[in-house]
Amino acid sequence: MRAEEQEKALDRFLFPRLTWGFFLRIALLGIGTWIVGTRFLRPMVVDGASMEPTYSAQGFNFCVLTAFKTERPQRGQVVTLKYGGYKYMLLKRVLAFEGETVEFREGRCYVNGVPLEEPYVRKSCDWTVPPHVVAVGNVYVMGDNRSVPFEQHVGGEIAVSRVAGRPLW
Amino acid sequence: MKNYLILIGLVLAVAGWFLLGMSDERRVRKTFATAESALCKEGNESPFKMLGAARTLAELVEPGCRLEIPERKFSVKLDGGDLAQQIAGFRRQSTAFTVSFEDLNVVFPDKTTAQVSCDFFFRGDSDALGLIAGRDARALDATLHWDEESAKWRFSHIRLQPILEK
Repeated sequence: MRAEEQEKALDRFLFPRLTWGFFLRIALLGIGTWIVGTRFLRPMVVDGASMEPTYSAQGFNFCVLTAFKTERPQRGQVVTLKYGGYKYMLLKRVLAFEGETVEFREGRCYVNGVPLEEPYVRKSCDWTVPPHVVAVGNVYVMGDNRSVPFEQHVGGEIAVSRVAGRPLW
Repeated sequence: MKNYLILIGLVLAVAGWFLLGMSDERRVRKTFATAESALCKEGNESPFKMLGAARTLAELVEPGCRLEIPERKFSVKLDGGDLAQQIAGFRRQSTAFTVSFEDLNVVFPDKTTAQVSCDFFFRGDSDALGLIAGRDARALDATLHWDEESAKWRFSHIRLQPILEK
C-alpha cells in the first residue's frame, strides 16, 4: 500500500494536474525567482582571466546586490562593478579610495606611499605606474592577474556608484 | 465562468498596456532598441541588410547631430546622407560586432527633449573604427529631440565617456 501511495505521489509530482492553483504556483515561483535574481542575488559567469587565480574564467557565481547598501567596500575586497549595466559587470579588487594616492613600483602597489600587502597576486608583475590621486566619488580597482602589461589590463578608477555588489563566494 | 471573465480582463488589461501605454519614455527606449538592433552586425551580412541598417540609423539622427568622444579628442557632425555611407563603410570593415545600451535612465527637461544616460557596450572582432577596442564599454549621454514630422525621437547630441580611467 505504501509503495502504491508513493507511486501516486510521484505521479502527482511529475504529471501535476493543470489546475488554476498549479499555474498560480508556477507564476509565483517565476515572479519570486525574478525578484531574487534582480534585487538580491544576480547569477553571473566569470569571463576573462583578469582575476585568476582567485576566480577562474567560466566560473559561476552570484553577485550579492545588497552587500554595500549599508556599508562600503573594504580595501582588498573583491567587488562587482556595473560596466555595461548589470548585463556586463567587472569583477575587480578595491585597492584605493577617493583622495588616496595609488602607484605601482616594479609590480608592487603603494597606497599613500605604503606598500600594499597583496597575497592574492600570485603571478609576477613588473608594472611601474606614476602616482595617481583617486578622484572624489571614485574607487581604484584592479584585477589579481597582473601578468599582462598594465595598458592591457582592465582596471583603474571608477565611480563608486558603479559598485554593484560582491561575489557570493 | 467568473474565473474566465477575470482571466479575459487581465489579458485585455495587459494587452492594452502594451499597445496603448506608449509613453514618451517607452518611445525613447524603443529608439535605443532600434538603434541597437541596427548597429549590431552578424557575419556575412548582405549588402541590402547593411544598407538597410545604415538607413535606419541615419533616420534616428537629426541633421547636425554631434558625436563626441572627448578622451580621443574626437568630435564629428553626423549628417543623414553622409552618415549612412559612413556607417556602411564601417560595417564593411568589420566581420561581426554587437552593441547594447544598458541601464537606460531617461529624463525629460521639456516635452520635446529627452536626456538619456546609459552604458554603451561594444563587442567586436576588429578595431576598425579605431575609437573603441574589441570589447569595451563607455558611459553614453545623449540628447534626443521629438521630430513631429517623422513622429520619432531623434538623436541631436551623443557623448561617449570612459567608465574606467587609468
